Amino acid sequence: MTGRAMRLLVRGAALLLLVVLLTAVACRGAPEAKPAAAPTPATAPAAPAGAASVPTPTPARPAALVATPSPATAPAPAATAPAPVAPAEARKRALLGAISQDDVKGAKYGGTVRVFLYTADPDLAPAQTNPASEEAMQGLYSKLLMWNPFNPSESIPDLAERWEVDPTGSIYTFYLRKDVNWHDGTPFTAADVVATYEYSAELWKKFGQGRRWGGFLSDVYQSSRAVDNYTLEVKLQYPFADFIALVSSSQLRIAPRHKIERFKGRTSYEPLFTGDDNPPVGTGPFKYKKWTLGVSIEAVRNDNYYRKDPFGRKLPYLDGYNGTVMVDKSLQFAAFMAGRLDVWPVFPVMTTDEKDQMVKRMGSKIRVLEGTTILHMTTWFNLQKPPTNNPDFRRAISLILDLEDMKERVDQGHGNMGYILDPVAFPDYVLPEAEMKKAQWLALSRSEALAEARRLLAKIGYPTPQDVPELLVMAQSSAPFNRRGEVTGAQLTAFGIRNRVEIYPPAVTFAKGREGAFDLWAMGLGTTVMYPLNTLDQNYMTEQDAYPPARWVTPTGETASGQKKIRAFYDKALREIDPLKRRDLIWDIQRVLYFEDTPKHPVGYPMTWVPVWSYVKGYYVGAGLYEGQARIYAWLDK
Amino acid sequence: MRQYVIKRLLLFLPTALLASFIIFTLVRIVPGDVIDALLATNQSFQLSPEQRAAIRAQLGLDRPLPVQFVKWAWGALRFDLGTSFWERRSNLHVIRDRFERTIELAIFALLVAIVWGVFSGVLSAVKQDTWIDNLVRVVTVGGLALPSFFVAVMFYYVLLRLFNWIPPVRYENFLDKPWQNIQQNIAPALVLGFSAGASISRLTRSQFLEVIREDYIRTARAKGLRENVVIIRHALRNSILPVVTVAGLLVGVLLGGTVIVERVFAIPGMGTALITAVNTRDFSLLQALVWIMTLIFMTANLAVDSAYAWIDPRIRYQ
Repeated sequence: MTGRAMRLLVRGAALLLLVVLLTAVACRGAPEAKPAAAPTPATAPAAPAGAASVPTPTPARPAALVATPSPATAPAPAATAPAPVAPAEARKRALLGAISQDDVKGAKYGGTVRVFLYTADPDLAPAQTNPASEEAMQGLYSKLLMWNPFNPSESIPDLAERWEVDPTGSIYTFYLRKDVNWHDGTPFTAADVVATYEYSAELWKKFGQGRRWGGFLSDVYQSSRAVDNYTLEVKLQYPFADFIALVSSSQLRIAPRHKIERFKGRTSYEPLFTGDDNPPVGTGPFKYKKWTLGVSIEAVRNDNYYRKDPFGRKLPYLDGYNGTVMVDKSLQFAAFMAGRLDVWPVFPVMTTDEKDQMVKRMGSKIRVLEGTTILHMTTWFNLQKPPTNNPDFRRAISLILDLEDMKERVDQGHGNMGYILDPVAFPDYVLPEAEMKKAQWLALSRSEALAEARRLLAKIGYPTPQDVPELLVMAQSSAPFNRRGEVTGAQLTAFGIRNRVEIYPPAVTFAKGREGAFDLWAMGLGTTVMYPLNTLDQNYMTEQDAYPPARWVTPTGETASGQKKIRAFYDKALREIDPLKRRDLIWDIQRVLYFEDTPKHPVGYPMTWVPVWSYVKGYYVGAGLYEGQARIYAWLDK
Repeated sequence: MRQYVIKRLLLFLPTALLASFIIFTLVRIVPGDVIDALLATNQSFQLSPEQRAAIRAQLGLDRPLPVQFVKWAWGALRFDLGTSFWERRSNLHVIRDRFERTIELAIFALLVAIVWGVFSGVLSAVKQDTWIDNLVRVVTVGGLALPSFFVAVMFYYVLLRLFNWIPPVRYENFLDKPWQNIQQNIAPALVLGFSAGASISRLTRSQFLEVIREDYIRTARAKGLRENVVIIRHALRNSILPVVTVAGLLVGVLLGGTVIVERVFAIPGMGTALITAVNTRDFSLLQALVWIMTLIFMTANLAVDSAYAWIDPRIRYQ
């Protein structure tokens, strides 16, 4: 062999060795395939270990369904230990992210908690929200009511000390706290709430912005007025029994009138707050310090915050919080594991594999909270073109999709499949399981379901699955949608139906959805306001979709047969103030979705893991995912 | 020389306009606009056609495409780069915030690339066919072959595994917190510089090997000059011209490379703004960024070309 050839060989071997070494180092940390470990609830002392089942609703009238006005006076802070709760209730509270008084008993003051924001948002106002901006700004604002961190299903006073509702259920009177100031020192009054509600409704109606805030409110809201500085009257278009839940949810944070006023009469949308030149002003436990757009947000303790903890001490315990924009997932993981972050946010969703990796590497340095995403996954059918415009075809697809397989492959066993309402968030409204399981795709065994699917396809002119024209399955590129789209395609392929899975960035997906460039769309929408009709509104009231009625109406102008029934039940449920009747109507909607033909097929709810460093105490996920991000009770034990 | 520079400067604007036009066209071929991005971000479908039309009118998206481009181009010529659809503030404001971060990183990376590239190239040439030469060449091939995002992720991984430490993730301005700024920039600069320096190293090596065999080098040695004087003052200077060309081109490469590396290292520069603008379909900001990046690239190349005459007195511009 010549010298030149020898040199080439040596160089090639050296390069190969380098690549192999690098690959070996990379693979050393790869997760080992093993069953997911049983989750460790952060609280809930009596929760059964490894419990994965969801509490089954009981036929008796559950307390949560009773819609009553608040007590005449605000409940005094409980200074004694609460009564022990049943294991099922404890598990539910843990999954909804409750803390206990023991969690805050030894709270220390000081420290700054560090989180990451997976996307930057240009508007720090309460109206414009996505999960990342919620992370950034929840702590700056307050609401009239809030979900009790110690019992997440319960609404408790916040800016309002108490409330009353008139016998018609259409007029709510809130009696506000008198000891609250805005962060800039201006006193908080009823006029601020009026301005906020009017602003949010206008934002939605005029500019199509802030659907998650004003949009919901404008569905029920008629007007509001300040009876006096500390008494607020809100009139609704009709009796709306879930108004208290709406008011308690993180989407109805209050902004100051003196900031909103400058937007009166404007003809184009402008952000309410933009940063140092126009800083956010709220009444929350933290005050704005600095916002570098696309980089980070810093907030510091509001020393004049009005809430006290159960032991009468001032809140919050923390000196502040910092949020850093970090889009890349590998960096998010590295930063958390290296201790550059204290808390993992609710989004992006963490899979069980990822959680196991983290636990394996970090052990007792972290604890992992478990929570529901309240993200309802569905499969959408395009009713405008064949074959998905055929109800038998849609039924066949529903039978082909294997939800348990999807749960294993997408959520790694960590989810609640087949449910229309989240069984963790709304157990009292979920259709009784015995009835739910009668839905054809849940009742039949896999072989029976696939046989029935073949029969349906043959009936409509496809003797074999291979005769079905190639279907386009669309999904957006963010997790868990992308994976769900892939698994949907894989299940169709396994059955014999040709398909093409196309994964796009979210904006492109929405555009293609608008154009109808799909047959099946692996989609999902999160519940943003904590009442069950919100889930149904978001996911199933298709007439209000941005793609009306083009996608949900067949070429002959008909909608799926069940859709009109759903709409009728929904409109009735919105106005029903009797809790049991309302529940029954919500059950009726679910019956239609399970047993009749609709444009969307319910898939279920993924759960998520939320790791926090062990020294972070008093942190909770909270009802509706965003409550805990106010970090009212969080403290650092270091 | 002056005429040459003026001629080159006159080409800036048409080139930048052409680049912006290409981007203007390409980005509109992909479905979706900023409203779809807003709906996707808020996970909301409930926007009526009337509301959608109103927002499009507010943003000027309802006008014919040629009108949109001409309006934008006329503004760009007057340095009014428009308003970001997504951030709702002036594009110049957005770019100004991010420009310094990207340029800081690009300069840092360029320095790393030049220092490591030239040094390793000279070393490899001087120690030709030794184990040093082979090692350097293996490393440079790795730098050329491995994508920068892979190197970036591996960099983090190795730091985390070995030291349980990664650089600070929250960006701080150099004037506010210089040490944190350096800590945060050093990793991406090394990653980018490693890749960019690989091509400089190989080019330096091959040029150096040619020059070192020239008669005047033999003469210099025969005169009794020290070896480092021969290498640096005589050989290096004559072999560096192509390297200067490559370094100028690297400005463009580095500006492109920062797009990925900034995202991995959470540097809020023009690269991340570019990705965000693409994802949010912020046409206005996207065009403005391309415009500015084109101007930067052309300025860098002009500076490089102008430097030739200083490096090699034999060169004259016609």
